Amino acid sequence: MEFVGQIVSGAFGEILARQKSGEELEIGELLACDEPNGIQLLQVYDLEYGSQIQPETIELMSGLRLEGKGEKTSFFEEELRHYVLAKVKGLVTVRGGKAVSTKTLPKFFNGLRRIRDADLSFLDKPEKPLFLGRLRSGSKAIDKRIELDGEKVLSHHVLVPATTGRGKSNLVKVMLYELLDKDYCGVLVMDPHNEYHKSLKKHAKAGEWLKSYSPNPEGGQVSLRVNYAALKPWHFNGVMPFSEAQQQTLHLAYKTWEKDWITRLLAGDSLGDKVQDVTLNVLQRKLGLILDGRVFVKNGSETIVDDVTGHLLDSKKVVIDTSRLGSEAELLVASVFTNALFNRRKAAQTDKPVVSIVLEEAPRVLSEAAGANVFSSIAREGRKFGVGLIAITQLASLIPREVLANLNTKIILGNEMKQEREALIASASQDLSTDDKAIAALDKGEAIVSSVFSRFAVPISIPLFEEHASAAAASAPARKAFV
Amino acid sequence: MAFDFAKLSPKKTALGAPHFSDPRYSPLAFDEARFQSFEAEAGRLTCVDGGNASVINTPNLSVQLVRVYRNEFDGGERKTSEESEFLVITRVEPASGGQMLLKAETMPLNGPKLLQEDLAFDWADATLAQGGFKASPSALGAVARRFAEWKMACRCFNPVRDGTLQTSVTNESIFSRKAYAESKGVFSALAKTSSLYTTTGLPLVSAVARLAGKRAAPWVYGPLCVNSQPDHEADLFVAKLHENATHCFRFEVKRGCDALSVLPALAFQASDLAFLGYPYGLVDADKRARVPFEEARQMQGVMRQEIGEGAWREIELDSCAVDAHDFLDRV
Ligand SMILES: Nc1ncnc2c1ncn2[C@@H]1O[C@H](COP(=O)(O)OP(=O)(O)OP(=O)(O)O)[C@@H](O)[C@H]1O
Ligand SMILES: [Mg+2]
Repeated sequence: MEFVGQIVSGAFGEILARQKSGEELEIGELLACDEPNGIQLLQVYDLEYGSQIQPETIELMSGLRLEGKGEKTSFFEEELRHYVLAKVKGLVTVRGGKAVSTKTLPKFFNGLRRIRDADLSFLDKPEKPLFLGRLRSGSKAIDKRIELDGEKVLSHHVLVPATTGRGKSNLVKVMLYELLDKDYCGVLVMDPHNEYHKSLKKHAKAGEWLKSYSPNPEGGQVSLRVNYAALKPWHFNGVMPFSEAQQQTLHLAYKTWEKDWITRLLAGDSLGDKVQDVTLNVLQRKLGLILDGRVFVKNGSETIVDDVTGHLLDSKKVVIDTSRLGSEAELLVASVFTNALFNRRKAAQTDKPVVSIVLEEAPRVLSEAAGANVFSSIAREGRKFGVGLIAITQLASLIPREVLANLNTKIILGNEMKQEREALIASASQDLSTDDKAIAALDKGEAIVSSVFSRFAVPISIPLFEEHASAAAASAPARKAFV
Repeated sequence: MAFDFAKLSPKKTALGAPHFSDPRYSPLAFDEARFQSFEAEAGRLTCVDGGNASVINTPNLSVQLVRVYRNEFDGGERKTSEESEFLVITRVEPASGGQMLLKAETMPLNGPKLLQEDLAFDWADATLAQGGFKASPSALGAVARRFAEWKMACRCFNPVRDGTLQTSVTNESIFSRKAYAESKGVFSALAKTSSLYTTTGLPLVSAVARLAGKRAAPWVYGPLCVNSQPDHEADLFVAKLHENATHCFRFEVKRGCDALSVLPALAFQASDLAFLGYPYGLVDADKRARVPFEEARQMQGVMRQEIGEGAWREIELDSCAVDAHDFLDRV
């Protein structure tokens, strides 16, 4: 047995193990401990120095060396007297091929070894898989696919928090690529950097499963145009702020003019003396800015909302290119489709297939300041109707705690901001209180998955999308077209 | 100030000459010619040390946990190490003629059984007595430890004891002679503390250090006396084992042996930074042989279970007769 450490003291959740000399344990590294009642999987969460020598003596010794008086001095059995102590915590116990919660301390003085493939047999493939990456031990990826139950995870929302550039988009691309031809879910992707469409169209089955919309359609994209008539006053909730008087006016206009309400408002028609001219003028100007004719149009495109929701309920993956739109216009488009989808779902008798909505910079609609809107409703009760969010953000701390707690799977990528880590740790499904350093130290593409649908917080390594896609394409069966 | 503290400075005191109260040690006057310098050099040594602590201590019953340990190093490399652990159970028993006996049995716990026979001492044995009082049963823990240390040194190469080569307890010289006969190389001892003085009342070791002045270490000074004590078959020296050492130590070799056949190896081990000037093998042996209070307490728990609550309470009642803090043997 190749031990890399030995348990020397500690308590439940904070076991201290001495590192074997010559071995190098890493923060986040996965270890195993063979116990009579199963294999305990443990994880290193902190490292410190240990020494048999008093601190004052060590300081004196380094003084001697530094000041050039260390000649003819030495260290006998250095590897025995100075060492590294690793703080480890139990993740899960594998008993008879099944994972159960760890409730006991491993035997005192027991040896710890690195994990092996055989320890991981419990990580089986769910029927409706959602691929997130490979299991990671410290910074080493292990060839073990991490797949959660996609139907549950997507309907109970996913949060993807990280500092910029840590690989949020890459992760979502990988997830969507793997989900593309899965018929258990539809996904609506708001694509403000036009990156998801470009990536997903590389999928061999993109023709069948991917539906792309763009204001400037090219190569297989459909024109993104929405008729004014599709807009309802409440679609603006969370999109842009209106005063109390302006809100009332919107509703009055809708009630008065019905499907023509936007056209008439923009034309400056009067709503009688109940509405002041200033209010109308401001509304006219505000709406004019967001409805500038690039996406929202007076004539034509009456079916797009039904088309998009239909695709989603048909498990298609719908990508909306909003790269040339302002933030408010993007949210308005998202709001129109999402409202329509949510309404259809509420009216239907089924919550299948699950539909997920990918939204970048999610605090725009989920923060306290955004007020009530369709996205926050979905965060609260979407799972009842099989509608979930994939919320991407750099600033999870802006999302209120009870909403964060509702996002039941968090794929935590690297984050150097203490406040952000604290918000994530406080709302995670597992106790991540000892993982602060590990989260701060996560490299690009490394993540910790904390989910109510996983037994433990799973460290993962996410493949680079380009490599993942070409590997998948290479291993896919050859297409007839090439013959 | 009424008292002149400055006069406490040892510098103010003349060196005098080595002083021994026992006439069998005839002192040799200080002479710089008795200094010898040498070079540290890797070599083979076996350091031996022991430790003991009280588990049960009543006026008529004592249980002590004893551990004896040795390590052999060749230069910086550990060759072997061995540990022996046992309990010493001592009782007071009446013997013929109104005498009282202290009888000790040993019970091996770990490692080789070093003491084959039970120990028996006259209660009034002067070599055990402390301050004129009759010996307490607990004294046999330390005695058994000393005997076992000698036994541990048998068949060793260049054994080095922590302390001195002096035997003090009845029959101890049987064990020391056997150790001298069965060990190989040169038998020596290094003492961290020494109770030797000069005729002017200076500690002898400091007086030698003063005499050494700025002489480059390692060096050895001696012999300090001509020793004809039969229970102390040793030549006595003072040695400084590293140039940056703050301490000199009393050093002894088996009478008639060449001190310089082991000193270079001791000096080599004394280069360890944790205690410059003191050999690493002795640091290691001290640490490994020591019986911490906590360990004795745990053993007490084990014994308490073995003995049973009722009987244990009776023992506890008896033990009130001795100092309640006296868990650790002070011998
Ligand atoms: N799993 C990964 N493996 C290797 N490199 C990666 C991985 N994920 C991301 N990267 C690298 O990091 C870069 C930034 O990644 P990505 O655009 O996904 O980050 P982001 O978190 O979405 O950033 P932003 O906040 O700007 O949207 C990528 O171009 C890629 O080179
Ligand atoms: Mg991004």
